[in-house]
Amino acid sequence: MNLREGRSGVREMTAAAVIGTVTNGLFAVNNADAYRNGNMQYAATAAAVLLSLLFVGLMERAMAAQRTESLDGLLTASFGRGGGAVVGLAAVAGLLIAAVLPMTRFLLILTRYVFVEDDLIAITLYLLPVILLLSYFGLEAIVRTSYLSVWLLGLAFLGAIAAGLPLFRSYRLFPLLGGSTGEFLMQTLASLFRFLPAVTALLAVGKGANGVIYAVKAARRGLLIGGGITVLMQVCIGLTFTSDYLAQLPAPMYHFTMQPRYDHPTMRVDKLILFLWIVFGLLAAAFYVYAAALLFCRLFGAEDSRPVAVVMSAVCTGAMLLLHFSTAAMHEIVTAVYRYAYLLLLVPLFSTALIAFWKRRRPAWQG
Amino acid sequence: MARLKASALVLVLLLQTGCLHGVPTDEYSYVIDIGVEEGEILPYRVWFMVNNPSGGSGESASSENVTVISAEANDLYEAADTLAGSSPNQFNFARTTLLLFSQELAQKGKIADVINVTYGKLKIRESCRVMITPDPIGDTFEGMVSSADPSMTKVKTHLAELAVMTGTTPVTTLGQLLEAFSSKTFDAAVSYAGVNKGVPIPDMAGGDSYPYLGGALLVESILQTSCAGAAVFSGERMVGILDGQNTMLLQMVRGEFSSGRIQMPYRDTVLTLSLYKNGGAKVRIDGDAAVVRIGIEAALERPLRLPGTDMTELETAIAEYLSMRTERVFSALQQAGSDAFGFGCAKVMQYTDMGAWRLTDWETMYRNLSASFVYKVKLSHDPYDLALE
Repeated sequence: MNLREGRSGVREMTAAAVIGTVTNGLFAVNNADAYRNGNMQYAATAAAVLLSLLFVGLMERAMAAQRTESLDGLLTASFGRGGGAVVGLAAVAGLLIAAVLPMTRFLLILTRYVFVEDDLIAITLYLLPVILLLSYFGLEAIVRTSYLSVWLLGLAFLGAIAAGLPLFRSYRLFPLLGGSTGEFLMQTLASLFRFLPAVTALLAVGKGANGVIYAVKAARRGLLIGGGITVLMQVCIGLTFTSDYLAQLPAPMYHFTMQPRYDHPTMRVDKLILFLWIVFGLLAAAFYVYAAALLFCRLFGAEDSRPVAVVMSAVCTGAMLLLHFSTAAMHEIVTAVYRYAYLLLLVPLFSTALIAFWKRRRPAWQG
Repeated sequence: MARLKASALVLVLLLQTGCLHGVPTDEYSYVIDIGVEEGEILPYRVWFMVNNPSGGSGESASSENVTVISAEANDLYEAADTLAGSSPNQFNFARTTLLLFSQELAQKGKIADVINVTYGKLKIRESCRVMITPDPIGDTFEGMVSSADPSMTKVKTHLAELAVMTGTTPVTTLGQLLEAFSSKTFDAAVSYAGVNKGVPIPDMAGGDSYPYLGGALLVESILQTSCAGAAVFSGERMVGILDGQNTMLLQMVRGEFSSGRIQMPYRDTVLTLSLYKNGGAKVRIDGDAAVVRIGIEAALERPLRLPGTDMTELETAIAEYLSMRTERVFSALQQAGSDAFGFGCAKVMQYTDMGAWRLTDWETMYRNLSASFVYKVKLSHDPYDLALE
């Protein structure tokens, strides 16, 4: 067995969760869809974070009920070996999509605003080795690198806020919460996909976190810190751009850092901040790819996570390129993925948890 | 082994900041200013003020390496491509800080057609400052360049500082202009610059004193181009100009005012007052009536003493005068259909449903809006008993 799990503490796992939630929370958003009926993103995101916290509690209890230490064990306990593998594939797909979406957004920023003259494939090939190597080295490499660099995440977002601060205007958040209750509910559910991957990844690598108690602790902290940063940044974006304008912008976060006037000291920090975000995007993508590879190995009995991680990294890179094809059909697919990808994680895991409660292991004296 | 792995990781991460398409800085031509006016054959004539650094930092410029070039084109991108074909260097727009549009173009509502930054092909920042000029772009650029400041870096910084200090011209960025074009919450007011002709021009609102207006200042100076006042828009069309003092009142209502000066008739004399922001502006709209409350601190500059004058009485007189002047500006703007005061920003805050706001005919509502401007003036010294004397 060479599943590259190692042993990591709660702080390291929390750092990975924070990076994952913030990266997906801010860069896995379909802006045209999210802001079409006003700006309710910050509220929908806050609601999604709260729902994700409830989900963590549910999964913790389900795993305790089955006395298992990781997600694959819970899936197997609930659906049996074959059924668990099939249901688990949905979670694997969900994790891989979660790795792809923010990186696709970063690629878009790089091709449109930084390396305008260069080829998309050349830029993508710069990203592949990082995701591949990190996921190849395994959990310890990813979470320890995350822990070492997480303070930069705070710095990158503080820098972004400092850059945008002079242009904040409260009227831009209005009409407050914009659309209907149905719209809010739909956006909240879609936003779940920005936070559930971090939770799923932590549950999948539960053994590497020294047990489910610590994985859950890291998930809760990650959601609270990462979710808090995400909501704060979305309020800042809302104070800087109107919802109509946000719906047109391909990368509101990057535009946000490009706002300072030439006489402002924070002018031209945008590229510096962007490359920090990309480093975190790569760490998050590697975390999700590794978690997907580990889950796949455990469910299908593979004994080495490395070849699976390499293949999955390549698949993700291919998907990033594919998502850049701006055909009508691809546009429909991307919109559907952003709207409904949460089902890939929510449905299998929720049903697994319910079945786990139903099949709760009785104490020995009850037979 | 662990160290080796960590080093490999760090090296790979460092690659992310690398160059894919390395071009030395002295092989770039940095477009520092862009001007657009109507063309004779094609729709637009686009002007680039280009800095060709001779190596090292591209920020510094001498008059030899700053050139002004132009091309007629169907849009900005085509102009860039056309000019790139006749340039020895590659154009770089990352340092563009000024966009100058002709008044003719602005009045025809064509600015939005010329530039669209959401597709960032040229990497022009939304933080670029925007100006409108009634004169030919080439002459306006030429009038802004001096031998001591060929790239106009200093003059642009100076103008931005002047705008804050005097309030006589707004500092509007491309992002703000495009926001005004795409939303109905406010209309744009853009800095106005022109080549000096030495003849004062009245603005759309009128005033009691000398109109500070770009190109119409009574000055003999190093720079031939002057900048003062504002071009105001209704949607995408420029509909009028406001002189420096009326621009200052506009900025007070918009909450963007810091400090400035104004002259007002009082009894049988003319007072010169220094004005400072004191709490900003609060706008409230009930039905078709708007009330704007503005806090201002005033200091009597000339004359320093007004014997026999009660402080409260003078504060009331200043408040009434500012209110009267602001109502005159509002009336002129309303007639031109321009919500440059930004009443729409207050109106939109009454809505919780985007659909309802989109269906609201704010343009018609604004034309029927009555507005009163309540100034709360605080004199910073007693004109009757000046402690310093």
